[in-house]
Amino acid sequence: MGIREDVGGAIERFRSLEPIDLVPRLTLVFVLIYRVDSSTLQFATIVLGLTGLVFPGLHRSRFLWLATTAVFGVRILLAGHNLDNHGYLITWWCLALACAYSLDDPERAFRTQGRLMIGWCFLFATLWKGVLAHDYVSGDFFHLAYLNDHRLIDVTRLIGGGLSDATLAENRALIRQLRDASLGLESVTLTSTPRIHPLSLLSAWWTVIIEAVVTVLFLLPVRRVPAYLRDGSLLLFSVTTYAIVPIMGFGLILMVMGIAQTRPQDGGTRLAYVLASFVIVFYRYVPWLDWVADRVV
Amino acid sequence: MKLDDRRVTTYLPVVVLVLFALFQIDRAHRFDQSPWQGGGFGMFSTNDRVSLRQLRVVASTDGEEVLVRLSPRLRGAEKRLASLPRERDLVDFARMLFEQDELAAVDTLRVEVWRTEFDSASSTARLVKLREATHRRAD
Repeated sequence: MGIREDVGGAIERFRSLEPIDLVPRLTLVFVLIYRVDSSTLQFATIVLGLTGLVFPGLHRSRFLWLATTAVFGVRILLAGHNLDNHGYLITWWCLALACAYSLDDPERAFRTQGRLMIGWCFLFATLWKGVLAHDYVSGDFFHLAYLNDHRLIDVTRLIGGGLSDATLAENRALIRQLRDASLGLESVTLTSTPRIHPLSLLSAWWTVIIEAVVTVLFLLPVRRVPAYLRDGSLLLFSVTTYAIVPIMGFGLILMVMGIAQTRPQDGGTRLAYVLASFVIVFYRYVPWLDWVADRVV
Repeated sequence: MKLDDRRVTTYLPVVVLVLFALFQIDRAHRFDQSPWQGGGFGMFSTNDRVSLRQLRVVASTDGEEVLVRLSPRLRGAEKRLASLPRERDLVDFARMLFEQDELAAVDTLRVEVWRTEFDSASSTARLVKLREATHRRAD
């Protein structure tokens, strides 16, 4: 068989894979690659991930998922309240699978859990951005991020209107000086361009609007929202947001949860989520914006 | 009324997610926890993140104030306090610092947490005091 037949056959077999096996296996892959600070906990997550993938049927074991939840739960306890959000989300998702696999119809359970957890997660994200934070909709958050956050350097170079690597490095040095209590600085002025603020406003408003749309589409009753709208909104959010801010951990867990909430007949949609996962990993590891910026700027 | 076990089991992780997020919003409101931490999904919503917060310790003796240079081994504690600056934790930190030899002559320690605010119009980032707690050696 040629490569075309191999790939075509694999895609067809993937589309017919049942979520009851696909969802836990994808989650285990994520558990395997997910980095935690503690080497003991990292050992535990790797062993659990490998065990669930290697031993047939264990990926459906509620005990495996309880153990994984416990490991991530210990991480939350040890971190106090200092853990980033995806650390909590992976814990709650493992708990969801533990609960689902203790029921007669796990697929039905994690279809509901995936949809609601995505909906509530986006509701809180929208609430923070649109209401609770005082510097988001004004564009101030993104403005500082474009001038200071090393993850956004290439976006800033590409469409920021003339900010060089050296200037951005100076901005980051100024912020480091501001943070250094021994220097006693009260404020620093960064170098910006006229394009940055409109770009910041656009980024802020696009994000809060798309997150609000995802919130509504995922929290409304299933029968009131066409599946293509719900899935389309999450996929659109993912491929646009993570192109700018490549947060792979959060993105991949969202994709797994997105797959979990698909209907049994939506093999094509599940394939779209997997391809979106590849895109998120691409954003994270391939400096494509740097390549584009070098040629355009 | 008997709860349906299947529904409870299905919705439990959703309820846990929501409760933790609500607790985090409450901690942010009452104790100025950074929105980036704590499971409230406030990441990328504000410049008020731990890496842009500053912890300052000011020692005073006979009215004279001096900034205390903290040892690198206290970096973990600094980060935890900056993330969630509860007054009792700031006081405990000050109490712990009093045990250091170099602060033997100090009467009072003031622990301050500052956050960074950014003004787009002027492209200026400035520090704004978030919380402080003062602890006297005699207390």
